[in-house]
Amino acid sequence: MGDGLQVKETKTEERLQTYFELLSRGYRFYLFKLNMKTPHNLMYISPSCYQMLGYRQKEFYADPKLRTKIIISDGINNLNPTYKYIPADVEYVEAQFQRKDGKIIWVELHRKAFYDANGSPDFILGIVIDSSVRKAAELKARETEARYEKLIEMSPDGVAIEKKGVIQFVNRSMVELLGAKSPEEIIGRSVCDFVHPHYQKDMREKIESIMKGETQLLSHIDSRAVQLSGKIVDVDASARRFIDNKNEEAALIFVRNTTDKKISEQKIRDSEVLFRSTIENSVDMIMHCDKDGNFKYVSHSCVRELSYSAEELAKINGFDIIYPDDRQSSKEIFCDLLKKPAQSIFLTFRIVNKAGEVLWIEGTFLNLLHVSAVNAIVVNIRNITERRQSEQEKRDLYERIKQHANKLEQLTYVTSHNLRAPLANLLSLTEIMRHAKEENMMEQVVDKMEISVRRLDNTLRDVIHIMSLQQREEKDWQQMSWEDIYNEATQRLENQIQQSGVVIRTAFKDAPTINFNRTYLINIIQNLVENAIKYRSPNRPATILLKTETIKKYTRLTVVDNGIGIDLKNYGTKLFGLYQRLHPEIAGKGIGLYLVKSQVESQGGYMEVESEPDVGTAFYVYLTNN
Amino acid sequence: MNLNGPSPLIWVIDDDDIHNYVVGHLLNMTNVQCKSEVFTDAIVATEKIKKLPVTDLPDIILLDINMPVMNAWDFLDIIKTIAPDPLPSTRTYVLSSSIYEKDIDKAREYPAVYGYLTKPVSLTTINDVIGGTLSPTFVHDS
Repeated sequence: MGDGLQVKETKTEERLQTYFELLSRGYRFYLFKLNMKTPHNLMYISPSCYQMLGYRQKEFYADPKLRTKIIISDGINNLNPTYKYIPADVEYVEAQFQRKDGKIIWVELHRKAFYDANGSPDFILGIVIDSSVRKAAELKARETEARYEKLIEMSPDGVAIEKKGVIQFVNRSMVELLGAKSPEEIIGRSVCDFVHPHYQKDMREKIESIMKGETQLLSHIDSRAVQLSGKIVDVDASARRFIDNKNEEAALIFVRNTTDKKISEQKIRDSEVLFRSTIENSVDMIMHCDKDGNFKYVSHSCVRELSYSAEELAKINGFDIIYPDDRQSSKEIFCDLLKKPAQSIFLTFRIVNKAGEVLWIEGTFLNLLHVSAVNAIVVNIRNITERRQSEQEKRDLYERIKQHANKLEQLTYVTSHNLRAPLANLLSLTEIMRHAKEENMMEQVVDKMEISVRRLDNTLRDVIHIMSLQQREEKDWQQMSWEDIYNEATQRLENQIQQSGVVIRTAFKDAPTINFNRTYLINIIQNLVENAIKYRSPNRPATILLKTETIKKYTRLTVVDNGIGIDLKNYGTKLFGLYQRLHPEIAGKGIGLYLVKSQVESQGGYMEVESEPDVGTAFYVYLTNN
Repeated sequence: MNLNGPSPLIWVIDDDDIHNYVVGHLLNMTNVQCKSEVFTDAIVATEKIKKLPVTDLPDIILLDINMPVMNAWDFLDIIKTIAPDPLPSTRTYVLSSSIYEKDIDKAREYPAVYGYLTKPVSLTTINDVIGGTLSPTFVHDS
């Protein structure tokens, strides 16, 4: 012992001092040594106090109060070195010191008390570290944390933090979402308490995989939550793994209430189904086409009506299936419509379907190109082919009925005369008979009565025959040769033919057969030939020609004679009239031609006549083929 | 009423031979004796009207409606073309078996037609026609 050791101690101390000084030069810390025996005595302060505090060593040595002065605030402990309490181990204190330039910095103070050989406090060795950077970061972190906390609290989505299966934190929205009144009703419970039973397993698995680190982030999972009351809400959940401020693994869960959204989504789906089924089951055809006429959408009835499949229609341009004659005008009207948003037009036109059939179509075209959800011309059309046909049929039927009505009226008129006339005569004759005095007058009167009665009878027969004409049907038709019919008809006229010396020629080569009603045909030929004989000219030998030929869908029978002819100009309308006789000196009832015409027309044919007085007459009878 | 001497001249234009017999019989039994002429063809009657002097024209014409070739209406139309008033002192009656309204209406349209007589015509009616004592109604049933 002696100076040697002390010298050695001093040398060690000197060496340490030097080390510190060297070390502290670049760093923001300084070393100090306080004498415990004389409390205010600063034994040593390292030169780096200047970098840190702006004060030099000698300023500290010179002013013992400086050390206290720089303290703005200290931590828990009193830095005043009248130590009542001596820290046994290294003590750590945070404080704020003020630099010479006025700037305040955060510092960390570490100090330890050393004892002498007797055990009484000898000195305190301490180190003061500039912790402003760390502190600033700490403050910033806390600030950021506060901000995040606020964000989470304000978020409209529910946020929860779950650790080890237990809810640690919920924000206000989550409290509301789960139907609670305060966070305490939820904190401490398990996440699964609030998950709908059907979804619990799925949710558990997902959270586990997050916690295991298999997935970092779950987003937008459709799920169902159960509120405290038991009410079920649809939710959209996201979760992620994170390290909380205690450095422990936790799950951050975001939940959004989608019940309303789900309800409106369902409503939209329902209305879409309703709408779609209405369109799909509509009898009308509904299509959407673009501004060039290409189909973007076609309803099912289009497939049915047009015979194209849906795939084929998707590739078709509407104008291609419009009947060629209607194409140009439809295109023009369509182009005009393109210039008028929200306008609609009504069109009637024809379409050719896949089978090549021509369909009459009518309907509307509505320009909805400007509506973004539609972006098309909406076409709503229907097949009116049947309607047009039935309209035509109606017109035809009306014509036929009108004709019948006319005929009936004619008949009424005629019988009014031809039935009543002989009856009126009979009445008068009976009157005369009462006053008849002589025998032969009586006989005369009775003769005339007989004539009248016969006339009456004949007229009635004619009427019955004419009325029965309407009911003949095609099933009474048969295939016949003109030659045969002609022979049978003229057989009945043998006497007249002989007596008159008329020469009859026939030319049936071009149309030798006909499918027609046999009785009628015989009557027609008989009548026309008989007329030709009756109305022959006394000035020349009578000739008659009968000819048949095919003209379009008719077979035409021509009966030409060189007889006295008919003044068609004056009496043309009466020619075929009932009981109209143009030559009263020539015997006849006046119903022959009327009957012929009725027979021909009742089977769908018609008649024409050409004539010149004193030259001859030609009758043309058109009979429908098959 | 203009009488042509003591015997009025009556034309019967009708193609019905039986009826003409009946009328002839009636005319033999009338109160006033009269002369009659029968035409079964109205065309012949028109020809005669064209040629005859006014004094020889008939006092009364009994005209049937339904006749072949030329009926009552054709006859009346043709007559009008002969002269503005071709039968100044003739009474023309339509004498028809028809009771069809359309015929009666048509007769009304001709101012030349005095009345419409329906067959069978009675002696009384004939006497009234000749004597000019027929009632003013247009249609006379017997």
